[in-house]
Amino acid sequence: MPSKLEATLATFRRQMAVARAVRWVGLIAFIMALAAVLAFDQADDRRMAVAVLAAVVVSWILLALRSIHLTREVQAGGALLSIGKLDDAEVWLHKGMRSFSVAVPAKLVAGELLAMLSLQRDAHHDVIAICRELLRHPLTRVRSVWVNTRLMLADSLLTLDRLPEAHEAILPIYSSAMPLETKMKLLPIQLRYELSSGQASSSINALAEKVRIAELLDSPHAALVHALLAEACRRQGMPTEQAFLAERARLYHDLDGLAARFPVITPIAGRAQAPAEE
Amino acid sequence: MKSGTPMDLEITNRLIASSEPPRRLFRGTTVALVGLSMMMGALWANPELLGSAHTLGWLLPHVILLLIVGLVVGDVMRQRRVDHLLRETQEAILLEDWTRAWTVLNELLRSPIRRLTTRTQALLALAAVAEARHAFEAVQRVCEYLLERGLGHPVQQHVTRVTLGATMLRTGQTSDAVALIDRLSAQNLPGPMRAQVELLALFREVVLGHAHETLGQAAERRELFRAYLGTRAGYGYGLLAAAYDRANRSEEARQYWHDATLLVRPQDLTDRFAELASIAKRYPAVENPF
Repeated sequence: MPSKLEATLATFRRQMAVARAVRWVGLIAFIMALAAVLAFDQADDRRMAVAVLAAVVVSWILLALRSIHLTREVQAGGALLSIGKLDDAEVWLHKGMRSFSVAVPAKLVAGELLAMLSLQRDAHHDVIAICRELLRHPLTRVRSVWVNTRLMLADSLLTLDRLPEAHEAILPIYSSAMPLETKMKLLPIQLRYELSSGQASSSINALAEKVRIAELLDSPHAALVHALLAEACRRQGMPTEQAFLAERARLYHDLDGLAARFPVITPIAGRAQAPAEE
Repeated sequence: MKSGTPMDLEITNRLIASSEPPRRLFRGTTVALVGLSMMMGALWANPELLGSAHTLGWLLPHVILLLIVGLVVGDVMRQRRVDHLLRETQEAILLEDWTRAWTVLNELLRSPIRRLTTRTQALLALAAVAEARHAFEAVQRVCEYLLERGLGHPVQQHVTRVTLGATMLRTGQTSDAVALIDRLSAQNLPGPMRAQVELLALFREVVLGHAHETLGQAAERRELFRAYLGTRAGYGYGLLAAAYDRANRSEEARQYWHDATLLVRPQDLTDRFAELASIAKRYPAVENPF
């Protein structure tokens, strides 16, 4: 018997196909009805074509209203997620993924938020399943969803120590110019990948710029990135930079808690209290 | 004061006025729907309209259809342009590239912005740039405009009040500032918003010279700043250093100044809070290797 998530993903996949078909059928019906209005000679035939045209437009408006309703449900799920009410958010987001709507972006955002929720619960296999499902669909018009999905996928794969797959997940993000927001989200993932795969020398490239980006993050992420950079400096024999970054990391957030989640920073979490030892 | 084009009240007023959405009854998409409905109604009433021998009778529905398509496409393009410029502004503000932020904001605010939350965000960005340039009259004008009109969602309104409170302290409108900060402090706010209010309340105490009287709250404030302000917690630590210094507790003041300068460069601390200039002279700062 499929799990709740598997059932939701199967319904989501089916409905995405139906939504795409409905959009095409609507467009073709509109063009054909318009062409018929122009082509028919008889007044009755024309009137019939106008009726079809009106029916297409009205149906489209009704579908658009349904889409607005779905978008609001997804927004409600996002709001509940942001205040930590995960169980309530989950109900809304499952509903958002399962409901029929021609609003493809809203359904994709529901999927993105559900992956985010699973990541908060450390349910990494669920995150991977949701993200892989989202990436089956064209996300070119919702680039932020595409980027976030790839980052969450890489995050969970890294946590499960599946390094080659994590690398494969984030690689396409580098193919185009990145806005600052993407750079901020990518940096912790990239550093975790580089340190886990023994590429500390890559982590210290453009170190000042990375520190500048880390300064823009919220406290836990700023602490994590500083600790990751400190660990890279430790491995590369840069004690001054390591001491500064480790002390800063400690000031941002409790490192023991972070090290339990991200073991790669354990050497820094252990030494942060005594930077002079380095 | 940071470098860049001078920013005065007149320019701020002009940008506020030019970004105001027109008070039209119908928007582009509404006009498009009305146009489409009218066209279909006309065709239903007179199916000969499209096949009419008169050029005007043939031309009119086609022109209406083209206009509808043009309106919808124009709306979408305009919205995308506004979103792009706002993103660029916010990026420049995060990176403290005030000249770039000012240039992009001028382009963004010179034409009407229809979505209210987007316009509020743009005006708050204008206030942030003005604050960085120490153009406090302009900051106050923007904040008062937003509050008078009740623009923005609750979080935006909260940010507006906090910005206004800090500005009024800087421009010597102390009693108004105190009343506003008291109102903000009395609210039951979530952590991130509480942290902003506590930073503002601490600034008020430092400005009014009685920060040493509230040192009992220092530990709680430190935890709030640490949890929710990220690197900006450095400004809170700097103000706590000033509070301890005033209480003649130089060891704690030294430690707080150390933490403040570990996160934020001394120059940036004193640029934002001139009250910290004497602390910067008295206590050693952390040397940043980057």
